[in-house]
Order: sequence, then structure tokens, then C-alpha cells
Amino acid sequence: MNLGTRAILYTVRKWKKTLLIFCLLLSITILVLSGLAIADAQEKQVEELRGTTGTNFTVNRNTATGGWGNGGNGSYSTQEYLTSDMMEKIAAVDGIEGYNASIRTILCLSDANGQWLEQLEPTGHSMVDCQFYSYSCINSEYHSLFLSGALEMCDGEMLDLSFDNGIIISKEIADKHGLHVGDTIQAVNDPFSNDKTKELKIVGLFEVVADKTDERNNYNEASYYDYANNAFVSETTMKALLENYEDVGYASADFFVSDPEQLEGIIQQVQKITSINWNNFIITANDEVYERVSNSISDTGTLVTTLIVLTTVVSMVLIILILSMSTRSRKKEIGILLAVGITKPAVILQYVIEVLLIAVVAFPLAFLSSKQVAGMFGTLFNKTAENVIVTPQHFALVAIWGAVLLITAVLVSCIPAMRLKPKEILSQME
Amino acid sequence: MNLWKRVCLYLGRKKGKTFTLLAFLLVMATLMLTCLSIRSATETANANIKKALLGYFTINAKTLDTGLSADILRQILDTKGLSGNYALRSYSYANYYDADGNSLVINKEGAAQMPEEYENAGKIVANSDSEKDSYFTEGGFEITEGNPLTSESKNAVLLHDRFAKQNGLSVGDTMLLGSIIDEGDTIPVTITGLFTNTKEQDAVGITPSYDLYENIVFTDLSTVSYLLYGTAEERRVQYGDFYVNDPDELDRIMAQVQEINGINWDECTLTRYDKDYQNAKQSLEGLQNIVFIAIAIVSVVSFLVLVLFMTLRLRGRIHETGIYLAMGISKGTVLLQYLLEVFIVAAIALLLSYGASAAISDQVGSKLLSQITAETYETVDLTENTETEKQPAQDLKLSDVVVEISTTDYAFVWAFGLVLCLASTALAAYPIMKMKPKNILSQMS
Amino acid sequence: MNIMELKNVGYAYENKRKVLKGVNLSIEEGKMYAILGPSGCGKTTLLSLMGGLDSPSNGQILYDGQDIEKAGLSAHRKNNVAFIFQSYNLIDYLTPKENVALTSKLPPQPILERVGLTEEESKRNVLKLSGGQQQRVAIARALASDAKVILADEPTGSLDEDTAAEITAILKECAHQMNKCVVIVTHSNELAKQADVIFRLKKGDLQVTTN
Repeated sequence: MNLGTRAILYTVRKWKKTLLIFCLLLSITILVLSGLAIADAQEKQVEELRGTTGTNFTVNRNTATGGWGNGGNGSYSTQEYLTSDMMEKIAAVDGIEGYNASIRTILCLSDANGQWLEQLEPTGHSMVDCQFYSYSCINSEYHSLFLSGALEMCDGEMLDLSFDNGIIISKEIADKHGLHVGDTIQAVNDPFSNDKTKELKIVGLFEVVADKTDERNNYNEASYYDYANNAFVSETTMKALLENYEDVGYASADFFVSDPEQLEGIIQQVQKITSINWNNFIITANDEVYERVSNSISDTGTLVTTLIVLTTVVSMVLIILILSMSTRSRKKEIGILLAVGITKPAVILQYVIEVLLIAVVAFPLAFLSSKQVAGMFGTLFNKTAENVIVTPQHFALVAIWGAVLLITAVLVSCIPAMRLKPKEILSQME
Repeated sequence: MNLWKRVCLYLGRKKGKTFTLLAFLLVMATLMLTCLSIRSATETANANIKKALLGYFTINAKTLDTGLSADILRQILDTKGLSGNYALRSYSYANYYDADGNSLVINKEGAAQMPEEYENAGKIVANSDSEKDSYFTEGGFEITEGNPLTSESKNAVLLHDRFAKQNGLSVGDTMLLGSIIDEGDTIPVTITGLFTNTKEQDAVGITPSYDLYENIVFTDLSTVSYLLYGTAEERRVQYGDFYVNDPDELDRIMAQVQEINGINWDECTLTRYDKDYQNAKQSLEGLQNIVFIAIAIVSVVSFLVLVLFMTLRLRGRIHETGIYLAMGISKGTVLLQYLLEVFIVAAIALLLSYGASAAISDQVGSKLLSQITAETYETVDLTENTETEKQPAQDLKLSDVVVEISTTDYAFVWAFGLVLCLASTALAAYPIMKMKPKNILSQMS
Repeated sequence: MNIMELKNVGYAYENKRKVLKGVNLSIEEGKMYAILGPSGCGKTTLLSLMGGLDSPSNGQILYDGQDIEKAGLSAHRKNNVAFIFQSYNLIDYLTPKENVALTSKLPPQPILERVGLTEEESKRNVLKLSGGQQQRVAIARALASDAKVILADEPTGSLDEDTAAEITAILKECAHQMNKCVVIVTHSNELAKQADVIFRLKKGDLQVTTN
């Protein structure tokens, strides 16, 4: 009888014991596989969480290194402005997910018939009442008023470079004048000069969430205009509306990164762009939110990882314990086999094959069930965990290392029995 | 030989088997304890994240004649769920005089208009922490000399350095702030610092003179309380920003605050600001879910493994059971013997597991987790061409994330662990117990 | 023809207690030998050494003229000798047929029938057989290995008188009819009387008596 036959007969005849060990191995393997999947998922989730902190950097023109001119409104900087071209180059750097820069001006808005649109709470002077504090947007999604939550879109969509003549106004103004998304209104910068009037399509409406009367915002003269009397237009529109003016450019732009941890690297990359004269511009990193939470986020990650590592180590210890227990109970059998002339390696190999027979069924089964386990637990406790996925790579890792561990465990647990001379084993039994 | 003696002899003579059981239970108990302590630690970390996202609400009492009094503030701060961080601010206008009562000169260049009565006046801004005021944090103001104002400051002002220069004032000098309405009503203040602006004031031609950066004066809350409400001793403010621990509680907290008596809440506006939290909320919940699932799986599978192992272990004792029964020892007594053996080993394992788990927790806590003394943050300035514009470190009052075993956790593992060990042993013994002694014996020979 | 020879074989335990001192003996095929002696005199040890379960402290053990250590004890156990124990030592998860097939040089069923087991009994769970039946299986296993030497350690120690006699008869058959060399360790004088040669062990020394 060869050892393969013996191995199979043992596994089959002692099916209850085989079943117990099988269940144990299955449970432990499910545990380890789930652990690996969870470790991966947690890493992704942490990265995603970091990405929600709105980390960005601002490129400002450096007024300190530029010249000064004198004008009607006092002195002003003659430092160069950011151009669309520069911003596109910066935005092309890996890791930047979006950017915005705004040109601000006061626009006078009128409806499709040329009738001036009145502000909320008009003063009575018709030429003042039609004024709206307006921003041009490359990507209105990244405008600070929307990012800070002061304003929220309630209808339509955000502006980006794909819109040529779009405008976003407040719902209050739209309601006041019976306007809706899709309607046409007109805008002009200075109606008393020969500035062009442009036709614009309303692409979205916003609601004012912030307290508009809070004087905290008064550091910014935009606050003189009620938030509801703000408007957002597309870049091409603004450029067309201000085509008579020379000194029009972007004084600053904000670039948003997807992973705050890469911020430093990204800024360095940006500063390597040779076509921009970095003497004239300052980069400021804005990652306060990330800085506040990064420690706590990484703590959570560390804790989960620790748990998974501990579980894996425990699993390995358990396998060794279980197999050693199983082997030691077969001391008599080992003695008989040796007495009958079967060599020690043959006995060990038989036990190794028995364990591998179980593993060959348990590992794939564990892989299949662990795919369900995470989802099962999730729905059981009403938690979604879509990204806890057991991958074939996990399986391969566990299968290979698991097999190595099992074989080692059998070998190690056979040592005490193998060290004895056959005579001693038998006399221990008699 | 009585039951106890058999138990002790078995445990003592079968050292290998006893050790295996002890090792197994020790490892399982340690895993469970560490799992539970990690769970509490992640809860703390999570609460810290929520707190650090700085959700808050603002009470705007500008239109309230009486403002927010110290008494009301105290009641507000008593509300459950507030993190303890808060800011108070007020805004007003005042005439500027030197110590002798002579009007000071304001900057008029670039102003769109200079309203009547404001020829020598400017805007007054008061904040319980001037460094956190939006003029400094967003407007680009910076202290150039002296010290910022805090809630402890009294009768103190910060002047724009160009304003000070123009009027020959320096840090340490005194001046007077006067009410716009009642010209004779003044309050003396000392100049404790100077500031300047690093960003151009965007003149779109609509700024009145009092809003020009040079004409702004920062003062303490008591002084502005005098200017607004006529009381310096009893400090009243216009705005309060109150930070909360969990932004999900903002609705509840704001509702609770509005139940405080003694103030006409109809005249006040309460607004919540938690955009950072809302942005992060879904991701944060996703992370929490993952943690929860991890702990759930580890717990459940551990228990399963425990039951299976105990069953496996007991199978090897059929022979012995038969002998006991053949000797006349009752089934109940035999079962009790096995239970006692497990109980003793489990008790030892549970005792040892405390030490093992504490050691692991300690290592994790001291080596792997971020060291928090007082959790602070500073914005990072990564460029070479700026003068370092460092935001001051803010104390977020976060809790230390500690991985430690709580008494409840330990008691839970003890109770649950023992019950499980005993139950699984009894369960495993059941089939053997059901057999007739004859069958047991014939199975053994 | 001497199939095995022991030359000046001695054995001492780890604590230096000498159990065998300079034992000399030789055994032939076709004969049944009994090793007699009081408990603890080293009978089982002598048998174990002959069977290659352990190595002597001094002296030589030859099989077919060759030192068994040279060929390897494992090979010696596999090819040259076969054991029978007092407590049968069958593998509990193998049927009688499979237990016999363990040493598998010859087909099991005829041998099992030869020792008196029916086809039905050969397929039963080994633990469900009586003591006598189990011992027959053990003998069958020894025969199936086709070893020339059968070493039996108190083979009838756990059996009743009648069954013991049956087993002894079978062992005798193995020696006289199947030309095996059967060596039995026993403390039963009855059994020893049936042997062709008696080795008496006393305090480590051997005494040979021929029947």
C-alpha cells in the first residue's frame, strides 16, 4: 500500500476529524482573506477620505516683486497676471484634479428684452439696482463660495470651460423675475461706455446658505453685494465683456489636488514649469483641513492594519497548534507504521498529503465564501462596504503561504514523534 | 480519588495537551481583547476626525438690542455637544481721537465715498482672538509689532501701521475711541500692537472710507461692548461661533440653544457651517463601516474557531471517558471534570491575556499612533518665495487615541469567553455522553 | 542454516543500567523459538534489537550474514522481520484486509483465510473484531510481508486459554509448515513448551535449552 492510498483512507475513514479540521482551516482562511481585503479597502477609503479635505494651492501674483503704477483709484501693481495658458500648464501636472480662477467685475444684467433686472432689496436708483457682483469661472465647482458651502446649487449645472455663454444666478433673483434654467438674459460691464452686451443662457441657479448679514465677510468688498446679487459667468463671456480693458487678467488661481499627501511633490513639479517666471508668482499651500485631520485619519488606518496583522499572526499560531494537536494524537499509529518498516519520511509525507487534501478543498471554498462574507456582514449590520473585495491576488498569497505554513506545521509537529526511536514509541504505547 | 484531584492530575501530567489548550485560549483571548481595545480606539479617532473638521454654528445677534450677554453665553456653552472651542465677535464704528481728545487723520485715498460724521472715524472689529479674525485669516492682515488681542485683553487696540505712522502713534501710546452718535462719549484705549495688510485692498470703487484697511481698528470685546451697548463691565457681543464635537448633532444643538430663556431668538439668526464635514461625511462613514466589519468578522470567526477547537480536543478522550464510566463514575461527574479542566486553563489564559494584550496595545499606542499632546495644526507653507506666513497653532482639544483595555471589555471577554469554552466543551461531550458505556468501551479496545 | 546471528550483543539504558550483557545466539528458518525470563529481564529489549527497532550498545546483529545496521534498520524491518504485539497494534482506520496490505508483498485475502478469518470479517472495522481475531490479523500482516523472521512479543498475553492455544498453533504452523523463523517472547511456560528452542534470560545472560 503506498502512502497516497494511506493518506486518502485516513482522510475518508476518519471523516469526522477531517471535517472538524476542515472547518477550522476554512474559518481561519476566511478570516485571513477577509483581513487582507479589509486592509486594502481601508487603504483606499483613507485615500478617498483625504481627498475630501479640499486640499489646494493658490498661485498669486507677487506684488512685492512687481512694479507699481498710479491711477484714478490709487496705486496698483503692474505685476504680470496669470494667463489661461499658464494655468492650463499648471493644471496638467499629475495629481491636480481641478482648478478655478475668477475675474471679478460688476455686471449689469437685463432680461431678454433689455429690461434691467432688479436686485433683491433695491435702493431705488435704477442704475445701481441692476448691478450684480460677478465672477467668471473656469470651473465654478471650485469657486470658494461654492466650496465653503456659502452657496449651494439647487438647479441646473456648474460652469466649466465647455460653456461659452453661460451664467449662474441666484434662485431668489430668478424667482423674482420669473426666470428659469435655459432662459436667456443679457449682461454688460459698463452700460455708459461702449462695452459690448452679450446674450447669456442661464445654466444653473444657486441658493444662499450662509448668513448674508454676517459682517465677518466684510474684509472682502464683494460683501457689499448680497450673495443673492452675485452671478457667475463663463470665462469666454467675461473676456468678451471686458475686451475693451487692457489690465484684465487673473491675479490668482486655486488648484485642487486629489491626494493631500502629494501636495508638496505636486507644488515642486509645478515650480519646475519653465515657461512661467516664478519670481512673479507666489504659491501658497492650503491644507488646513487636511492638517487637522491627517493624524486622526492615519491613526484609524494604523489601528485597522494592526488588527489585521494581529489576526493573521494569530491564525498562523492557531494552525500550528491545531495540526500539532492532531499529529500528536497519532503517536501510536506512527509507531506501528515505523515498526512495519515504513520509513519516517514516508510517514511525514503521508500526513502532509492528508493536510494538503483538506487544504485543496478548504482554500478555494474559503476564497469563494469570503467574497460573500464581507457583504453579508455589511448588510447584516446595515453598513455598506462596497470596496471590501477579496481579489485573486489575495487568494494566491494565502494559498501559497498557507500551504507553506501547513507543511511546516506538520513537519514541526512530527518532530517529537520522529525523534524517538521506534522502540521507544512502541514501549510508550504498550 | 475525587473530581478535583483527577482534574489537577490530568492538567499536570498531560502537560503537552494542557499547554496546547492554554496556548490556544491565550491567543484567542488576546486577540479578542486587542480587538475590543482597537475598537474603542477607532471610535476615539473617529470622534477626533469629526471634531477636527470644525463644524460650528454662528449666532448672529446683530439686530438684538441687548446683544448676547455673558449669562446667555454661559448657558449656551453649557449645552451638551459643544467642543469648548468658540469665538465671539462684534463690529462697530468709532471716532478716533488722540489721548488729548484731538481727532486723528484717516486715510481717504481710494475711498468711493466718505460719509458725513465719519470724517475721522473708522470701522471697529472685535474678536475674542484677533489672529483668527477673517481679516487676518483671509484678508491677509499680519501683526507687525506688539501682540494680538485675546479674550483677556481689555481697553486695547491694534492699529494699521500706516495709520499709526500718519498720526505719530506707537505701541504703548493711548488714544480715545468715541461713539459716532454721541460725540462726547469716549473710552480710552492703549495701543498694544500694529498690523499691516499683505494683500491689496481690491478697490472696485465702492468702498466707503471707514472700510479702508488703514482705517480699521481692532479692539477687545469689552471696549466694543461699550461702544455698541453702552456697557463695558457687563460684556455683550454681536456674534458667537460655537464649535461642536459631532457636526451631525448641529440641528439638535441649535434647537436646544434656542430654548434658552432670556433672549428673543426671533431677532437672532442661527446658521450652521459644516461644509468640510459634509464633504467628508460619506467617506468617513465608509471608513467607519470598514472598521466595524473588520471587528465583526474577527469576533464572529474567532468564536467559531473556539467552538470547533474545543470539539476537536474532546474527541481524543473517548477512551478515557469509557474507563471512567466503566469504573462507575457518573456521566455528570465526568462532564464536570472536563468542564473544570477547561475552566481552570481558561482562567489562567484570560489572566495572561491581559498582560499580552496590554503589551500589544502599549506598543501600538507608543510606536505607531501619532503622538498627541495637545492636537494642534499649522498650515504648511511650502514655497521659497514667500515670507513664512504661519498660521498660529490652534488647540483643537482632541482626545488622545489610546489603545487600552477597559474594565468592561475585559469583563466581557471573561464572561463571554468562559461561557463559550464551557458551552462548546459540553456540546462536544454531548455525543459521547449519549453513548451507552458498552459502546464507548467497545470503541476503545 | 542460520538466518540470524547475535554476536556479543549488549544493551544499556540511558542511565547506564545494563539490560543485556554479551548475548550470543543464532536462529534458523523452520523453527519456533521462545525467549523466557522474569519481568524486566530484557526479553522485549532483545526482541526489539533483533527486529531493528533499536541499536545495541555493543556487539553485532547479522541477518543472512550481513550486519543489519549496514543495510539499514528501516529496510531490515521492512524486508527481513515482521512483528506481532501483545496489544495487536493494528491501524484503526484500516480494515483487516488493508492492515495486511500495509506490508503488501503478497495478496491479503488468502493469507487472512489461512489464519482463519472469513471474507466478511476481513472487511469489518478492525476495532469490532475480538482479541483473537485481531491477533490473527496481526499474524496475517506479518505473513504478508513475506519476511523470513517473525518476532512476537507476548502474542497471547491478552487472550484466553483456548484462543491462546489457537494462536500458538498458528504460529507453530508458520514455523514448521511455512518455514518461517518464529521467535516468541513469553512468560508462559505452556507456550514455551511448544517451542523448539528456549532461550532463558537471567540478569542479562542467555541460556539455551533445546526441546
